Amino acid sequence: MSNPISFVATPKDLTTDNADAYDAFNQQGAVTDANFERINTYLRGWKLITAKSTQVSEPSPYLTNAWTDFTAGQWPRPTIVIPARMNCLMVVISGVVEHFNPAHTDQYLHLAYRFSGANSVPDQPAYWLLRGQWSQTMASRVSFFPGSQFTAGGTLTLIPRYYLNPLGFTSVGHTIYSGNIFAIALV
Amino acid sequence: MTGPMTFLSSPKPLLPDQCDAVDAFGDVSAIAADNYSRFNTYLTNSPNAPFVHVGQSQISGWEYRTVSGTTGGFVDITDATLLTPITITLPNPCAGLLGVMIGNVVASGRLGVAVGYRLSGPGIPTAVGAYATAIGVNNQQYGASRLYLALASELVPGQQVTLYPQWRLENAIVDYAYVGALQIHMYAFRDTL
Repeated sequence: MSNPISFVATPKDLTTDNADAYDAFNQQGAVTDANFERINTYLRGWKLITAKSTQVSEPSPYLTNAWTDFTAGQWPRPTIVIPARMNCLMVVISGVVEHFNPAHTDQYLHLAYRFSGANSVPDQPAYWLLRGQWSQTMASRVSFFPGSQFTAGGTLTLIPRYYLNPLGFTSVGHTIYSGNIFAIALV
Repeated sequence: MTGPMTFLSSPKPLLPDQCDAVDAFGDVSAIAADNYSRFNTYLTNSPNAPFVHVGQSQISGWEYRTVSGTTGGFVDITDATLLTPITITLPNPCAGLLGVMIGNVVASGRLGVAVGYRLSGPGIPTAVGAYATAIGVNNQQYGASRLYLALASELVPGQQVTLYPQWRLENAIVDYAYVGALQIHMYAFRDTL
């Protein structure tokens, strides 16, 4: 829809009688209010709703062998109110994962996130992102989730988290920084 | 425009009896015409496309370069034969801006070279090198992408935002790298409400 709509003019000149005008007034009032509400409903179909947060600090120490949430102080948790008729939710998590201990080459470190509230997304631990293994990785992971997996009107919280597997070694030589997470609800 | 348009309501409760109906009918007609005008003004200023895609800067093959700057700090890539900054004029209203970098890096040494970008414009926090995307390590090739979202609250509609490609040395062992298939993009989302 790239051109203005040609709305039909109001037939205000069709009556000069109070009795007829009374009925016409009430009918038109009801119809026009309803029509404009439909316009707003239509426009909401283009809406873009966004939320994001940036990592503040790292866990100290990193816990091992379990998915562990960053605290809200370490990495604030963005929230988004799920809009009605959301087609999909785009979520992007980014960060730098490093592991620089040459004695512990088999360690790995994942960065991911989970949802809290207003969702029925299964298998969230599968959405891990980055692996540090005597290396340094910088990247974003982009995921799209169908709107049917979320509850309209509910508040969804994105919680960044990590998984460190030391494989028998001590928890040293690794770091996660420069983290960002954001979500875009496409209605 | 961050919420639904505020249309004028028809003044139905103000009509006490038939004697006022002709005047009231005229009033509500005028209000309806006003609302139609508002909506058309909105449509004129809000094209159907939900976002503006800015022309990208890219290389398609592999390029060998000496990396400028000092260890640990991101600096702008000033070699125009590699990548050039891209600038966008934000739509008005604007719902957000997405910066994207995609690329591969190969570098020698225990640690290598990282590439990234920064966004610069009114309202955008200055965080040089915060949005790194890929790195070459141990002669391995790394390919990755990095996306960054600037919220509507961080942007000034109608103003320009520039994406500057950057890189940094990870240590002093190497100061060169092969970079391949680097691309930078920006997408500005129109605010449609």
